[in-house]
Amino acid sequence: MRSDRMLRIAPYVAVLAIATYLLHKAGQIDYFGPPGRIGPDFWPKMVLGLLIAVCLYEIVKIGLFGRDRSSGGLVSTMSAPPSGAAEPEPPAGRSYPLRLLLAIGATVAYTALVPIAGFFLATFPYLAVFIYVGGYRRLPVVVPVALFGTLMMLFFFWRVAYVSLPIGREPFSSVSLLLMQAMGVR
Amino acid sequence: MEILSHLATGFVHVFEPANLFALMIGLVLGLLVAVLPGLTLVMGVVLALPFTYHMSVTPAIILLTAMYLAGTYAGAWTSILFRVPGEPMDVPLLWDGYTMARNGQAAKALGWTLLAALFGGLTAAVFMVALAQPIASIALTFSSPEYFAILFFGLVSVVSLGGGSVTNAFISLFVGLMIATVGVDDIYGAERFTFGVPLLSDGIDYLVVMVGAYGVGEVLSRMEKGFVSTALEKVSNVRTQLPRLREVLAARMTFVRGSITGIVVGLVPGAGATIASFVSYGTELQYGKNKKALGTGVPEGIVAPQTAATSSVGGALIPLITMGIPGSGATAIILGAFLLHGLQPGPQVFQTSPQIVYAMFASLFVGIVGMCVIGYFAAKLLIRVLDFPEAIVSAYVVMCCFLGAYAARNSVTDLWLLTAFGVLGYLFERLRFPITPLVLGVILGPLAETNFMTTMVSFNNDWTVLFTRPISGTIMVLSIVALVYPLTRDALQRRALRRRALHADRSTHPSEIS
Repeated sequence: MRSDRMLRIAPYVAVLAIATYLLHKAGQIDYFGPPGRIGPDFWPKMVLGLLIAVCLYEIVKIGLFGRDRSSGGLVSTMSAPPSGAAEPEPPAGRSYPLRLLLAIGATVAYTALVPIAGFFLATFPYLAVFIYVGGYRRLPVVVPVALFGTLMMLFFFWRVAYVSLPIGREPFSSVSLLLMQAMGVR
Repeated sequence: MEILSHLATGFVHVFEPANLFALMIGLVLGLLVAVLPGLTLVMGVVLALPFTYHMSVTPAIILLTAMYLAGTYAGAWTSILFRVPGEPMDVPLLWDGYTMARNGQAAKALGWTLLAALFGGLTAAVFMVALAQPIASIALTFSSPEYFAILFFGLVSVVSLGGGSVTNAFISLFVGLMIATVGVDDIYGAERFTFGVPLLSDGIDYLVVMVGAYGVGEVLSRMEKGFVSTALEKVSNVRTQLPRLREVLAARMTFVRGSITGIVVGLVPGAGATIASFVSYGTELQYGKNKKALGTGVPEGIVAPQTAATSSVGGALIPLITMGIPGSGATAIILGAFLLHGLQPGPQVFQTSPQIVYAMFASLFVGIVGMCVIGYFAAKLLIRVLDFPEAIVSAYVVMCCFLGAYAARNSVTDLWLLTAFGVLGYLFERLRFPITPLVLGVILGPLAETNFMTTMVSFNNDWTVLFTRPISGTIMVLSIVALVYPLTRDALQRRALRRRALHADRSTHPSEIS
């Protein structure tokens, strides 16, 4: 019971800790302004003060009194269907945390790789991995879909929208340059 | 008369090939996005934005507005046919729509939806054209206290009108407001929360927050559920059958109530199609001629939410165009498109760029009709998108998010921010913190802070001026009522329940009490 409460208040404690740290940082904002006038630290301090107050309220409410219920907005009071009305199809109950972690890991790796390997060499494997991790396992479909999609995006952004996508560093940039040449991008 | 002449010119612009093409593409994309349960209307508009960077301003605005409009309509199809709402706003539609479909009246339910979207959309478009210029003229007289009051009202209403916990919505809003403070402030030029990262001096682009929290966050949430969508029922014949004139006339007050509700809710910054849809259904439950039959598969249960959802688009565009205040995620993206092309929506836009504003207005009229024509003939075809593997669609959604975030400033730091906000969006969804207040906090935060600071500087730190000026005072009082209402409503309801229970107890055990 106690660990359940701890779990419920954990997000509020985390936000409270970050807000307190930021409030400390807000006190160190340097500025020059006429005396008697509120400075650039006023607004963030006010927002952080309110954030801390709301977090403390939730922590006390859940931690001391075990109350999880909170006032709801207007929609929450109107979202009850009339008696006997059809309800939305319930979602499938299974959870896939490993897939989620792999997807986050692949996304972080992609973000790190893009400036090094360039858009093409980073995006093609990322798309393929994302689709595969997402549960679609037919490799003869996954690989061409990822490759075709990457090339289409390259073509659109290089030739139509004129957005300069990362070409990467040597030796990977030579692949990007080759593709640019093939697509007629100067 | 001047308005009509501008509107006529707007129609001429809309029928130019490039603009008409953008309109059609926007409508089809909006309909597709609304059909797919994993993609929301706002996400769709967000994902389309990078593709408009190199378009000229009119087709870019027309495309995004058309997506916004169509996004309020097609989710009804899956709601009615498969009991799977394409968008949260489509939940009230299935209460009666799906029941009608189960009773063998699916075609008629789709017909009512089409007519409701047509009526609601056109009514709101007429209101929008009629009201925009007068409101802009009034807005010209506004000063910073009035603007701050309106923004404060928007920030408060996103908390008090939404679903879920009010305290979580507040936390989400405050986090959004804090994200908006990162960078160099406008008045003193002081660096705030940049932690030595040079790119953070320019602040965090609200588009990155939106794309990350709505796009990547939603995909990660669905990834955790294995992209397992509900098995769809087989629907052999998807067709639309329009109701008879007699039936329409019998439900005329529902059409009118729904449209007005949608426009009014749309006007409120922070409220949108979902709130309009629920509020309209709730109003019908209270005041409808057929209120006792709601939930059993009656047309009023379809007309009320659908007219309100579609008419909220016209309502939401009014504060954007007349005051430069985006009241929802979708209008914030449209504002972003305006700004990218060097145009600042607001009262002056009617003087500086009337041709663009009226082309946008005219596109709404043409778009509504076009959307209904496409809906009538191509619903069956568009619903087929549900057969497409979600893992593939989601991979491309994430890729569009990356491209959108990168193309805005050509910065890899924005990709890291996108990933971070994607994970934050997932965590918010997981822990039941609403994302809309976070996003609106990021969008409206800088405007609210600038107007607050200007007010304080102009009136010698006298915050009471917000309450003593007639317009700002009225709006501030309304905001406080909106803020206090959800907090007190629960307490009052609990008290009433306790009283009722005590009363019932007294009547069952009178001797014990006496």
